Amino acid sequence: MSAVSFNTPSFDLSSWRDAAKALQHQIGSIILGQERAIEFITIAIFARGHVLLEGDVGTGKTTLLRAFSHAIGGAFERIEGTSDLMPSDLIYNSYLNAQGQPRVDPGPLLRHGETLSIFFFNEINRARPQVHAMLLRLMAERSLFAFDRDYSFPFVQVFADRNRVEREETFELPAAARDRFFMEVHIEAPEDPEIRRQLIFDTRFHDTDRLIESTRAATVDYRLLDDVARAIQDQVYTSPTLQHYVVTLWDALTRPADHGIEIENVDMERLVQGGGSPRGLAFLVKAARVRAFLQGRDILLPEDIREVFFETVGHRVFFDPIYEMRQENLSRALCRAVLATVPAP
Amino acid sequence: MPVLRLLLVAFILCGATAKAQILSIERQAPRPFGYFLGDLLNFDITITAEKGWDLQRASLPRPGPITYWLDLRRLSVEGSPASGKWRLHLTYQNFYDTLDTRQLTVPGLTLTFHSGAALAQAQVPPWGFNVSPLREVQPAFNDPQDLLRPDTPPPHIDQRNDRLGVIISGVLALLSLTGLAFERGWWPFHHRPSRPFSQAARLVHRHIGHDDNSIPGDRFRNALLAMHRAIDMKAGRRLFSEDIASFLVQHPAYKKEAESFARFFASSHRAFFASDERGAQTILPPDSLLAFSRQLATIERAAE
Repeated sequence: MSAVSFNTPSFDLSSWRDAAKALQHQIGSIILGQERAIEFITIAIFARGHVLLEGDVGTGKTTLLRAFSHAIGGAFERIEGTSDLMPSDLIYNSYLNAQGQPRVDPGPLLRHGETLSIFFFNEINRARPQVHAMLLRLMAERSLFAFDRDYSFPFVQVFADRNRVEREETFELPAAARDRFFMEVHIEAPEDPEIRRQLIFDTRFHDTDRLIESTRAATVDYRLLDDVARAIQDQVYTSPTLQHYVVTLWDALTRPADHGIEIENVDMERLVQGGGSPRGLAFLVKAARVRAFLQGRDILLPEDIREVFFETVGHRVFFDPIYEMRQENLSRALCRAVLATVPAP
Repeated sequence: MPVLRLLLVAFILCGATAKAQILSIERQAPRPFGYFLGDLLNFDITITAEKGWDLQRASLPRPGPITYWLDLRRLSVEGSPASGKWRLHLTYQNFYDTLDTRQLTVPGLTLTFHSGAALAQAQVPPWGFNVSPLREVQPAFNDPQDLLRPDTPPPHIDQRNDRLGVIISGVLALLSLTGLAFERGWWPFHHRPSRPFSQAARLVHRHIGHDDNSIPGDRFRNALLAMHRAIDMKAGRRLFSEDIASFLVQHPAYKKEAESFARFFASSHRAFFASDERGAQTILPPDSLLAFSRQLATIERAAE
């Protein structure tokens, strides 16, 4: 096996690493106690992946995304999912103007044209499957067909929020839709009492517009992110040992019983109906490479895989219906058990 | 003792109505001869009456002296008007001290049944038996010792089966105890605290301990793998370089090797994840790896 040379980067990644660190630091200074979520969103941004956010209401998801949007530049657009929202509502507005003439204006998706960098879909599971379908096309192809022509959004990144509190009047995302998301990031309220105290009493955090404006705009250029992401994926090396590790992880995820993995009160033979997907595992490695880049490495280590494993793979594991109600806890337990069992190297 | 069975079916002469009520009287009496002073006589009397007829308890004899030589010791009655079957158990005791063999008679019984105001009587006839005298036999002896009979020799008991049983059950007990000890992990099946680092040190020595320069890559990698597995086993999970700090907190005995752990993982990263054998052996030369494995084994033994 020959040694691999990392000496001739085609893209200067070290300055981009500094920029990414600065971005994380900048967001961390106004969004307190969400270091993990900030790291994952940074990873998603540098992997150009769409993210499904899940968390309680009022934990700062929108502020977090607006802060990122502010920092990477480009347009930020946000829409609330409701059960009567139709795909056309995203594309155009029709109204009567002051002169009483009917007008059709571009809707939230088209309004900013190609400069749209972050599109935040709040409470995506309140929207109907027709809207999901359109969003999936936007995510997969970064383009839309409207007004008899294709609109392209080369820099768009979709963030969606799934309300997990209510189940009434919601349309659960189908497996295929969840699989298209690069990551599912859980956002919890901070545990640290000091941070909680600041969030409640410090008036700086109450006016989100001013809070976001207080940070530097366009720390990184969203138009270059695609190239950076490609360079990261090209330049972080994955050894045959690591490739074998990831393949074994996938196998352990789909057939946990064969690897001697046990979870209390769960029949491991029938637990997993579908575990991961080639796309999911590719996303895993993609995210892990960005994590290695953020750590200042040009080789991918099992630590990187482990760090992003649950966020990229956890939501792609589909369980037997009798276990599906406990999906979140079980997938977390399964991921933990798989990582604790499969040896690396 | 042969029991004489006496069947007596009597239709009692106490009026045509009463006759119909007592259907049968059956008495089981003992042998009628061979009695001595103090012997007991047991009778079972079964009376079949018409259903609905009840036995008047007052007509039963009372336990106690019947005559000057005969006592009724026990009397019990079973039966109910619904079934019509009545069973009496009587035990007499003979106190007649006879001087010759003669016949005596246990008096009969008259039992009264009633149904409402109507009465019926069942007659159990008297029963004769022979008593014999108790006579002292004057033994012919000169020496009082002759009166003592020699002890009966103990009977021979065949012990072979018992001995075999003891041996078989002993072996079974031993086997069960062995099984229990194995299952519970008692001595000698208790496992010694496992020593993954000692085992790894042996493996590392086997892989790279023989020649000190230019170790082939696969042998160096196998030695690294042996160390990885030992560290995993010690930690109880898969341990990566980022976990060294938490591992050392859990196993503080290895704290002074923190730097060696870092070098080991750095070398492993070059070997396995950068495909750079030379770099791996530069960071951690084979003899350093050997020394590291031995050092961990030493700490492991000392920590127990």
